[in-house]
Amino acid sequence: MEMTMKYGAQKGSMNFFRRWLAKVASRELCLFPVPGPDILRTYQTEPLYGKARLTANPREANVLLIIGGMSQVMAEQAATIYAQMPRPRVLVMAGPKHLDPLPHPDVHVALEKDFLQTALPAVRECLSSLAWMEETEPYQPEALVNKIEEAGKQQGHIHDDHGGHDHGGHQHGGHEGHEHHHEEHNHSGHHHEGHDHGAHQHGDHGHKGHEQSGHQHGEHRHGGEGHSHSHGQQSGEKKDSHSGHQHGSHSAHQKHRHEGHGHSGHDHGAHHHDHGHEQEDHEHSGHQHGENSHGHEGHSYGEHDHSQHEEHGHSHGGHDHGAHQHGDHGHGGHDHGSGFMSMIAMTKDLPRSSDGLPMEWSDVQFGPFHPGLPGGLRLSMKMDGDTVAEAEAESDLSKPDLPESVRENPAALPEYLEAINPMAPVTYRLLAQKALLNFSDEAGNSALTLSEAVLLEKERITSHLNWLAVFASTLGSSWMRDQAIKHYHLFQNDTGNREQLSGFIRRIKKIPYLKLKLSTAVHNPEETEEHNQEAAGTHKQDHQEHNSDSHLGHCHEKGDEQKPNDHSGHESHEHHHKEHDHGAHGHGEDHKHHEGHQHGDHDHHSHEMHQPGGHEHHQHIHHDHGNEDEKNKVTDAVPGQLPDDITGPVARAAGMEKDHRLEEAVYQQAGWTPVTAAGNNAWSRLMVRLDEIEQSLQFVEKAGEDSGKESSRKINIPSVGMGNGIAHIESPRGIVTLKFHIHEGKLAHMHLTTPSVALAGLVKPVTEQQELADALIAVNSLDISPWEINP
Amino acid sequence: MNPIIQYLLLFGMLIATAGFVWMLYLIKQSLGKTLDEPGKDIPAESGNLVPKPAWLRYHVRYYGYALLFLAFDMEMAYMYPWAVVYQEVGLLALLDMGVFLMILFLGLVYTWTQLGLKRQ
Repeated sequence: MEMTMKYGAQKGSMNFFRRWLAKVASRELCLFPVPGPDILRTYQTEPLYGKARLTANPREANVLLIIGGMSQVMAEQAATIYAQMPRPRVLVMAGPKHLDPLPHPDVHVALEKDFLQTALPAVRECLSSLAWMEETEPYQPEALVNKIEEAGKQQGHIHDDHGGHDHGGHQHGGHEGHEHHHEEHNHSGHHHEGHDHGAHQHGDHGHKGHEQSGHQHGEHRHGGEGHSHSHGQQSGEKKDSHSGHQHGSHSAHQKHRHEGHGHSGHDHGAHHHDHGHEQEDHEHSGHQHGENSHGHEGHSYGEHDHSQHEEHGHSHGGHDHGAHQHGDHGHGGHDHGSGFMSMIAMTKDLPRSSDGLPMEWSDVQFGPFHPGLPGGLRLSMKMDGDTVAEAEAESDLSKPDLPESVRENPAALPEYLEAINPMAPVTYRLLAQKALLNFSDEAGNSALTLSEAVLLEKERITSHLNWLAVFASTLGSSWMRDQAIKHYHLFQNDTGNREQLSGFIRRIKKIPYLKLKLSTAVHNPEETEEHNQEAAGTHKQDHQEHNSDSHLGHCHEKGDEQKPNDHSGHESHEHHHKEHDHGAHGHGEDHKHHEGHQHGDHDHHSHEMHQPGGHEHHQHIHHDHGNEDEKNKVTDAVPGQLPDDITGPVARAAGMEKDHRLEEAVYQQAGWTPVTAAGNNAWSRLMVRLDEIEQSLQFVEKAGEDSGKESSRKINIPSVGMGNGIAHIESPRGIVTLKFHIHEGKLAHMHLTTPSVALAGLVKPVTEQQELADALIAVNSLDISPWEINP
Repeated sequence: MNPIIQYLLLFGMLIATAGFVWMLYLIKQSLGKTLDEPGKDIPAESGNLVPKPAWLRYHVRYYGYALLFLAFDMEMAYMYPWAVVYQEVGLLALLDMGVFLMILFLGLVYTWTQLGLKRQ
């Protein structure tokens, strides 16, 4: 067993001064929770109240708090955090006893409610008595050192590449008598950016007598060893234009696309370039093969399309390519080093931004420990400046395999599912119970009881509040975050005050400019188009002219008082009124959002014309109260641009009435209708969740005394025979479905469908071409649970 | 005050500053040796090492505003000398500058109508 604080203490022996310092310092605890503060909250019964502080910056933290098990990938990321923390530092693990490559924990506690109560005093003890130790050692686990080296290498490499065309060391050495018929390739525009020709090796060319339709390399002899095109091995970089290059039998030259130099497809036979690149787009747009009279014999340019070659840039002037002897390879005329400032050449392989500008993109990782995202969620983004070009959400939280004990005894399934989903434990337990009931009950009756529904609604309140706390961090509102945390803990302990929470919700709704900020319409133009066409087919209502802006935000209080200049943010509306989606509205009678709609007097004249590419394509989803028929159409309505598998608040915020509670008798009896909103943006999702909190509060209050008792229904699992169990439940994030097959009393297989998987698929469309801050807010507003999408 | 005393004060302050820095150094020394660890000096984002330097030519999407800012910044440069003589010249100066500003303002309005104020 490793010594406590072996990697956490400062080097040196304790003396009076240091003891005093350590004691003082141990009062200031700064925790870095892994995977995140939202998970930590689920294990706390009250806020931290100054006992410790949470931070998102490892340089500030002195306690690394690992909550629960995680995958190797994430443990390595946590190790990076640990390595970056200043000494003295304490590693606390709640749950796992050891996670490679992290060191042995200095404090270990069981993963249970209020584990901080036991952990924090132990941490203080460590910090005050073990802050200095002679035996301490540098923390340098192999995994981390390797990662750092790798990153360092890459860094060096890229620096090289960016140094411009680094043809310095280009060695065509040993090419004696080598007739370089490269004139064809006309290295003019030659986009060698990123190529490192330094190490270039063209060993073993046997280039004799190559003839191929395009090129005729006549006597092209790459006489031998040493010629080289090594392309800098920066595999994966699209900039390289030599890929595929095989100078062998030269028969593949037809494929050359010489716009811009392109050794692609060169076939140098034995010559193995080993580029490792996978580029296809070799473009030679700088070339001018036209007047190239290099006195080549037997060259035929047949296939080459030289028409586009302009912009010489490169001086081949002095080349006498006919007899070109590359003896010692001075590469006389080839001047790769200078005169290459052609923008076309420099930017040709770069990705294009939405406005057509070729620019470099950067890869950025947000998470898994990002304060503005659910803990454990990792967002990999390609950024085009401050705009997201592409994003993808992943999770590295580990999901333990179904343990043997659960397989043997399916009755333990509720506890198992509860444990692996800390973000919605009650929901998952109820789900498993329902599925087991469905399996064991002969009538297949697995309806929720009132008390179960109350439990579910209580969890919805806390789950939404926990989400709100993270959302508020992303927004940058510490007031909202702290209030959300306060109410979260109160409601978790069943001591919440309904009036206070309602007051808080009202205040959120009144925050100035919040609606405008969150109403950035997020659209995927093509997808919208598709859906719209369908929508146009199904809905034949009169479409009144709508002020699109007013519909974004859904809160239609008192007659849409939008003035024309409220549209300033949306100057390029594409107003296809056919697109209005009249389908999926919530027509619930108690729908207070519909009060005062005035669809008539929207002033459309202020809309500026649509500009192609402006892609602010507002999907109007609005409620038409006068139309009774529409109620019947709700089910077959085309729901905005959301895929069908999206459920939960995100779907309801887009006007889709998807809620499994509609099918539960308990809810039907209570006259319950789902909250919906029109807008499909962060604001409408916020509104739906806030209204759902209020609705759940009402539901719980109505249920009165019968609140939140566990079901006492006995579930017996017969030890013979087989059967299936299935259950759906409306979790705070959407519909969860559990299916399993029990064979002779044992769980044969189990399948869990979670809403977050579908929500994670929305990350790309909602972030595309958004500014970073808007993209993060949009991702956050989806409320993806990383525990539900882990592989 | 006697210039000598002023110099004494200056030197006193210099010595006090040096003393303070030396104190900080002593405190740092008394905290023990720093261990050399590889993980400390690397940039990382959320536990992920940064593979490449942010040494890119990236898209500056606010270039539209930046150009507009330049135009109005130049306008401000003209307004300084104008402000100096404003009192002397009087109403005429106001009208002159008004015409100048109006032309620039028309440019702004034109940019607006061409959606130039939108984020690119």
